[in-house]
Amino acid sequence: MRADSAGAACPVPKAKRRNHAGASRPLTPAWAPPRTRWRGAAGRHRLLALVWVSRGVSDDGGHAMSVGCCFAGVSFWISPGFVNSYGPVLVCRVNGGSCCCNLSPWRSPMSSPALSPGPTGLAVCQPQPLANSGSAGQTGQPDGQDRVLSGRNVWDGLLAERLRGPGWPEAKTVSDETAGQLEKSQDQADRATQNISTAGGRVIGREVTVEAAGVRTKPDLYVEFSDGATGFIEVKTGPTASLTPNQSVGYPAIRSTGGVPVGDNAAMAGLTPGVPIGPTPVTVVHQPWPLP
Amino acid sequence: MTSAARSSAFADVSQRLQTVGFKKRAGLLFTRDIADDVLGWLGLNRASRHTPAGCYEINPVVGIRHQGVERIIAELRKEKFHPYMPPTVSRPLGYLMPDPRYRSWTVSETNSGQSINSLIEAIEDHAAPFIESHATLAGVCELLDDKMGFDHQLVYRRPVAWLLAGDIPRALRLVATAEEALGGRSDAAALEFRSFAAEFQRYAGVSHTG
Repeated sequence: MRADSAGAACPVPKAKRRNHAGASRPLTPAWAPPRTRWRGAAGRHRLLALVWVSRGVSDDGGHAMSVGCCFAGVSFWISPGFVNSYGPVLVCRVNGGSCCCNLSPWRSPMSSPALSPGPTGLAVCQPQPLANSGSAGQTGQPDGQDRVLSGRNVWDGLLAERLRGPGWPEAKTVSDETAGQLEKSQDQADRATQNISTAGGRVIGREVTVEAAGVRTKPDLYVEFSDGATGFIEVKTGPTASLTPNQSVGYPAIRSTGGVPVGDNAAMAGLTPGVPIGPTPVTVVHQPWPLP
Repeated sequence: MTSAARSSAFADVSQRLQTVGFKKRAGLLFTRDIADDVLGWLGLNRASRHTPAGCYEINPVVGIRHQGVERIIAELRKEKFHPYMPPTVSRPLGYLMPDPRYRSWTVSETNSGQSINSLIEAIEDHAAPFIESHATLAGVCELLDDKMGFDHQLVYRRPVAWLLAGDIPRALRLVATAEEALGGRSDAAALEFRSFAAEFQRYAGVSHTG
């Protein structure tokens, strides 16, 4: 067994140390396993109880303490201080595997990693089998579970009250809006693809990086039209979406003199990175069309 | 999807493809020996824009690489021969399936298992038989004539494949037509093709008399 920074022995392998001063993450024991996946502890528990204390600095400049305990191969720690001091977090990790349950009313139980904070500072996840049939994604979160986790019998105090008051509805609104925008963006890209197919064309590559006029751009679609000609399509979602500075330079160059596909994704699409392509139309498509 | 989860999902795909006979190459490129001098080719082109956070869209591209054709092209372009890149012909997997259309497989943290299963199944059921049924020079020539791939790459491969197949007049006609279509273009791609065309005519003349 190796010692952690506080000098207590811990059966969990030591991970790379991190400097928490100014870090965007809250206090995290240095040996925190990277991702949450339930593998099951296969009988490697140890009848051992250890307690340790570690200290770090959160990015709001405050000091935070965490108290850890390791028993029967399962380690727990409670960290009372976090970014913006949102309150206690209980984290448990199973020795030999990785199961994590730290509490937060902000993130979905389906999300991970264990101690990666959301925009409001905390993360939540649950032990789950590898073949998970959930499909909410990181921004979708069931209201019911978050409400349970933020209930008075789970978490109380000034910050908890703030969360149950204006905090949760505001965070939920932002989360829902973001999810909605992402869904809309995907719908619009799918619509562009369908329109191409309807017109007898084919999508022959996605997000191929092309170097032209000294800049790199990555149009959304590389397509073959019904007449055999090829072209790039850039999908912009919303009436105010505009070209980036690189696109403003690169796309006219691709149209007039061509460019050079570069990168792995070009190779995966069947192109030859480094071999130039001739002048190729780049069409910017605004969805939805017509613009409102 | 964090980079660790993404790596894990892609490692899973890689492992599954290896169990069905593909050999992993650089990145997400895979090849499969199917005949003398012919490789089956599979690239997992990816997209992450316009997808929910934590999701990746995979566009599997299926191809066939005829090493004989590619060796000649490398020689005429004065480049080093690459063992597996690019494919001689290629097409996204969705267009090889019944009801041909663009199809992608979305991988996220919550559904990577299902998605990967479906992807592997589609590759086994549609990509593999397609590759095996065209694993000859004649099969590749047929696909080249069917314009299966990127036009700026096919203009090199079509004449070379027909040259190898023994139809030199046809090969020379293809090069002449492609060169004529360049017109007055002076971009890098045009200059490279003109250089290739000159080398090809010399090579074809030598092959014809040789």
